[in-house]
Amino acid sequence: MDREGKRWQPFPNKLTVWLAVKPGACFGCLAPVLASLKSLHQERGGELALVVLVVGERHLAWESQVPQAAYLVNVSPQAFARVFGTFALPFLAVCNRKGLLVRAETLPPSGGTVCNLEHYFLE
Amino acid sequence: MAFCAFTLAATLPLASFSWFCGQTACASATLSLPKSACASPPWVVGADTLPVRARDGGSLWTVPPLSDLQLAVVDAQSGRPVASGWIEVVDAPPPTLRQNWVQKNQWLSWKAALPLRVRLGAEGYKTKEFTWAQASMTVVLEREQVLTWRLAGGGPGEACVAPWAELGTFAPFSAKALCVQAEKEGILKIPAPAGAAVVVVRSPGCEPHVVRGTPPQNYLVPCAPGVTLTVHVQDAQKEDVANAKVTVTARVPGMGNFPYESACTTAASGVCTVKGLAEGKVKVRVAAQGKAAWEQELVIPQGEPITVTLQPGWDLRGRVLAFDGEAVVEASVRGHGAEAKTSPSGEFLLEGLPWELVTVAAQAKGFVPATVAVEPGTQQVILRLQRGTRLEWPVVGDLWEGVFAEAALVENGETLQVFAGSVTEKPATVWWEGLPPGTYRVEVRVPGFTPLATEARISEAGGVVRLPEARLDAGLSFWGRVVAKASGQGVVGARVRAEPGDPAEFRLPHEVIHAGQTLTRADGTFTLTGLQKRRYRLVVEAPNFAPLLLSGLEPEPGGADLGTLELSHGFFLRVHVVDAQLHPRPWAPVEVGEGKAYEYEPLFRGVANEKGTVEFPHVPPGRWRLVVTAPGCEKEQWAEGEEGEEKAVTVSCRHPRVRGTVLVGGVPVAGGEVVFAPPHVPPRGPVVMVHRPGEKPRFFGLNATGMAAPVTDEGTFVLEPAQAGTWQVRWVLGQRSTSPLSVFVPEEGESTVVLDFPGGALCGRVKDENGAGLPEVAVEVMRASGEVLAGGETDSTGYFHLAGMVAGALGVQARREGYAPGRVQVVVPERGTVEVEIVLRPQARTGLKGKVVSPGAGVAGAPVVLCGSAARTVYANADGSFELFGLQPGQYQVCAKAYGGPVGCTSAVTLREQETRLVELSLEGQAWIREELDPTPDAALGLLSELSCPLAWLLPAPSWERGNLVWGPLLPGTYTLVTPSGLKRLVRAR
Repeated sequence: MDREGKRWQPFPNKLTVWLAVKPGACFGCLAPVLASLKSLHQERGGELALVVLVVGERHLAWESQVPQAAYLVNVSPQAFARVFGTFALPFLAVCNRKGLLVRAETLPPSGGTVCNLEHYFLE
Repeated sequence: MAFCAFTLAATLPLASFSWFCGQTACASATLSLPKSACASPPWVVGADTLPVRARDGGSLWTVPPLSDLQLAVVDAQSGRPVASGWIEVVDAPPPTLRQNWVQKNQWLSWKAALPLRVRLGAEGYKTKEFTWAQASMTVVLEREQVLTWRLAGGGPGEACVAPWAELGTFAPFSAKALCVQAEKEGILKIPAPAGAAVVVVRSPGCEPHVVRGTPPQNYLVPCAPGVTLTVHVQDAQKEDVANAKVTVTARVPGMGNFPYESACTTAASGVCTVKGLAEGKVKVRVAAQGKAAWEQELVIPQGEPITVTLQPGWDLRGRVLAFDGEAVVEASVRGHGAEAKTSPSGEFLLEGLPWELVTVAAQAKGFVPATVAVEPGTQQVILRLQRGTRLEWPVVGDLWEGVFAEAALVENGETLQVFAGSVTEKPATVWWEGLPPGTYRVEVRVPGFTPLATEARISEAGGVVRLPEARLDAGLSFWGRVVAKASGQGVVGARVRAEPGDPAEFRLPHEVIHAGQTLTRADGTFTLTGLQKRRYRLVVEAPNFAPLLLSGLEPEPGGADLGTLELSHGFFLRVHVVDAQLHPRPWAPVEVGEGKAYEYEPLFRGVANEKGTVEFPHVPPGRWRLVVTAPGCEKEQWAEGEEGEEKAVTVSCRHPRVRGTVLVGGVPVAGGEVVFAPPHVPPRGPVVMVHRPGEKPRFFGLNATGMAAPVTDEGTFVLEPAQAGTWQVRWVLGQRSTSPLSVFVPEEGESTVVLDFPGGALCGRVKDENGAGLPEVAVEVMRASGEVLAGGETDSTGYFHLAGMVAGALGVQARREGYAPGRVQVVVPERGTVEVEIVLRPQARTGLKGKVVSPGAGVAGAPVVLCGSAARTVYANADGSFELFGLQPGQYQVCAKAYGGPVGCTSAVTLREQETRLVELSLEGQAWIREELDPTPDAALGLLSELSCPLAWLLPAPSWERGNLVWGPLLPGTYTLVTPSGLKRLVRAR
C-alpha cells in the first residue's frame, strides 16, 4: 500500500514471464507463444505474473492480444536493452520465484542477461 | 438528541467543568456527575481544557485523568509559528466544538485526555485532522489559496488539483488529487497548494484540460471540442434504437490512470454524438432497455460514425445467500459490465446480459467472494457465499494513524491474495474481515515502533480467530537536536526521516516508503524510534533550509545520540531549460537528485515556468544530478555549488545525431540493427521496475543506457537523438551479433561514421555425444580475458554462424541446460571463415529429468510436484521438459497437471547416487473420483498420490452430485482422500 492507501503490487515469490515484442510484431508468428501464455495465465493467474513489454511506441493492437490481468508495459528500446542486454526481439524470459533467469528465447549480444528484476505495479 | 434528566447546577458551587449530554449543556460540576444525568457518556469541558469524554465510574460519570498537552503550530513554508487559529475535537458536540488560539510563545497548552482526534486550522491554511497521541506535538500547516476559475463552456464540471512536489514514483496524480465541483455558471473555487501544481479540469463536452506549473488566478478554462465520436445504435433487425445511453471513458492524456467520462443519449434516429474526447483509445459502452449492453475499447475513427448493433439481452434475477441460507444484504453482484446490489432479502437483478455464458461475481463484506458461470437465458440463480473469518490481532500499546496492516494469503511460499487490515484504537486491535481459510503472513507497521509480523492459520470458514497479543516495541532509536547553523537556535517542525540503507545500494521500494519519520519539537530536539539493527540514512528537511543527508548511521537500544545537526541554507540553483533551437522550453519537469541507483524519489522536483526557468532555493552544497523529463527532451546534467552561492545552469534539449554505414569485411550489410551499448557495466543489484498503467515504466538499479537504430537494405543508419559518450557498437541481425567496435559520439552536432566490422567469420556446429546437432545452444565468443565479444544461438540442426568477428585467438563457449559447458579455442583470420565443432556432454548429477506431455505435445509451464524422499515443486519449460537435480538417493514420485486436462503421477522411481533418471509423464485420459461424502468446504479436503504428493491444489474445486463427491480430472488409478475429520480413504479414479 502506498502513502494514500492505494495498492502497489510487488510480486515476490512468483514465476514471472516476460514477453518482449516489437510494436508491429506479427501476431501470427507469436500465436503459439501467446496461446500458451494465455492458457498459462488463465490456469495459474495467482502463481505467476505475466508482463508483455512492447518495445517502442504504444501499439493498440497489442492491447487486445494480451491476456486479461496480465500487465502490458511500453518501454523504449533503450530501457529494454538496459535491463535485458539485448535489442533482439521477440524475447521471452522466464524468471523463477527467486528472480533468476530460467529461460530466455533469444540471446543477448553481450551474453549477459539480467533477470533479477523486482517489479512493482501501481494501480 | 439526548436531554438532561438531571442537573447539579443548583446544588454545587460553580465548578470548573461543563458537562454536555449530546448537544445539550446539562451541568456544571466538578470531577463527577450522577449516572442518571445522562444516558450515554457525556462530554466535559473545563477552563483551558479540550473536550473529553467522561468515563463510566460505576454510579457516576467521571472526568478521566487529564494531562498537560503542548502543541506547536508551524507554517510549512517559513518554518515560523502560525499566529492564530482554531482547534476542535472531532465528534465533540457543537457547543464545545471550536476553541480559538493565539500562539504567543512557541507552545500552545491545554489539558486533555489522550488520545484525541482533533482538527486544527488557521486562516489561509489547509485544515489538518490528526490524532494527538503524545504530550507535546508539532503540527505543520500548509498554506492554501483559493483560485477562482471559470469554465468557458459553463455547465457542470470539476477541477482536480495535486501539489507538484507531492507527486512522485509512488504517488500518482489520482492518489493525490483533490477534486472540487463547479458552482453555478461554471465557477470553480479551487483550493490551490503553494507552489507548482497539476490541475485537471473535466467538463462534459469539453476535452480534459491540464494546467501544469503555478496555477494562475482568475483563469478562463477553454472548452476545446476535442475529438467527437458519433454512434449509430441499431438492434438486430437493423431498426434504430432511441434512448440508448452511450458512455465513453478514457484516460486523461499524460495523467497516468486518471480517467474522464463523456456521454450522450441516442435520438429517434438512433444516433448521438459524444463530444470533448481526447485522441487515443477509449472505452465505449452502449446500453438500452431490453438489449444486451455493448462494450468495446477502440481508437476513435476520424470523422466516421460507428455503428453498434445491440443484440437482444436477458435479465438475470438471483439471490445471494450465505452457506447457512441467510440472505446476504448489500452484496455487490457483477456480470458482463452490469452491476447490482442485493436487497434486504438478498435479491438482485442484472440487466442487459448478452446471449453467452456470463460469469457472475458476488462479493460482500465479511464473505469470501464467489463466481458462478451462468448459461444465457437463465431466469434465476443462487450464489452462495462462504462466510469469511474475522482475524483479530490485539496489540499492547497505542495504535494511532499511519498504521499499515496486511494479511497475505500464502500457499507453498507464494502470495495468492493480500487483504488490507483495519484498526480499532480502543482496545488496540488490528483486524481483517472476510478471510477465506488458509495460511496468512500477517504484517503490521505502527509508526515509531518496529514492525510486527506473524503467521496465522485459518482452518475453518466463519467465526473469529484471535492471535496472541503482540507488544509494540520501540526498538532502536536516534535522538538529537536540529539547529540553524547561522543562529544556533533549534529548528521547530523539521522532518527527520530514517531510510534503511543508502540509495547507492539495493533497497526495496517499500522499505523507503515505510521509512520512519518524526518532526522536531519546539527546541529542535527529536527522537526517532521503531528502528531495527541496520544502517540508516537520515534525511532532515525544514522550510528555508537545505536538506541534510547523513549516511551510515546505526541506531542503538537507548537511542544513538546524533548530537547537534546543523541546517544551512545551501546554494541557490536556477535551471533554465531550452529546446534544440535554444528557445525557452516552458513546463518542463526538472528533478534534482543524487543520481544514485536506488534513489526512488529525487531530493527536489519542480517544473519550469513559461520562461523555461525553475528555481531551487536551498540545494545542499555538492554535486547534483538534474533530470529533465519533458516530452521530446529527456536530458541529464550535473550541477555543483557551494554554500551561499547562486548558480545558474542551462539544460539544452539539443541532442547529437549519428549517421553512418555498416560494413562487414568491407561489404555493406543489408538490414538488421546497430546497437550502441555502454561498455559493459553490470547492474548494481536487482533492477527495479516501477510501472503505473498509462505511464512510462521507471527502472532503478542500472548504471547505463543503450541506443539502437535500424539499418537499411543499403547498409545505412541514422541514430537520433543520440547520447554523447563512448559506445560499444555491434551489428545485430536476428539472434546473431558481430564483435563490437568502439565509437565516440560528441556532445553536439552530427557525426558520420563508417562501421567496418572485421571480416572474420565463425561457422560451427554443436553436437551431443552421439553426433546429433543440438538446437538452442547459447554460443559466446570471448577473448582470453573473458570479455564477451559476440553471441548467437544454434539453429534446429545445431549450426551457428557469426559474422563480423575480430581476427585473432578467441574462445568459443557453448552452453545448454543439462549439459556441461563446452569450450574450444579458434584463430579467426582477417577475412574468411573458420569452422568449429563443439561436443556437449550431459552433466552427471543425481536427479530426475523428464517431460510432461498431453496428448503427445509438451505442456508448457506445467506445475510438477516431486514427493517421496524430498518434496519440491517446479514448473515445466515451454516444451514441457523439467529437471529436478540435487536430490538424495531414495524413492520418488512425480505428479503434474495438464492445463485443461488431468492431474497425474508417475509410478515410484528409485534413484541412486550420481544417477539421472529420465521420466515421462503422459497426461492422457480423464477419470473422476466419485465417493459418498457430505458436502464440505473445498479447502477442508485433501487428495494424495501413492507417495503422498498433495494433489488438491492442482485440481479444480470438487462438486457434489446426489450426496457423492465428484473430483477430477485425474489419471485413472488409486489415490488417498483426506476427509475434513482427517480420516484417510483409498479411492479410485475411473
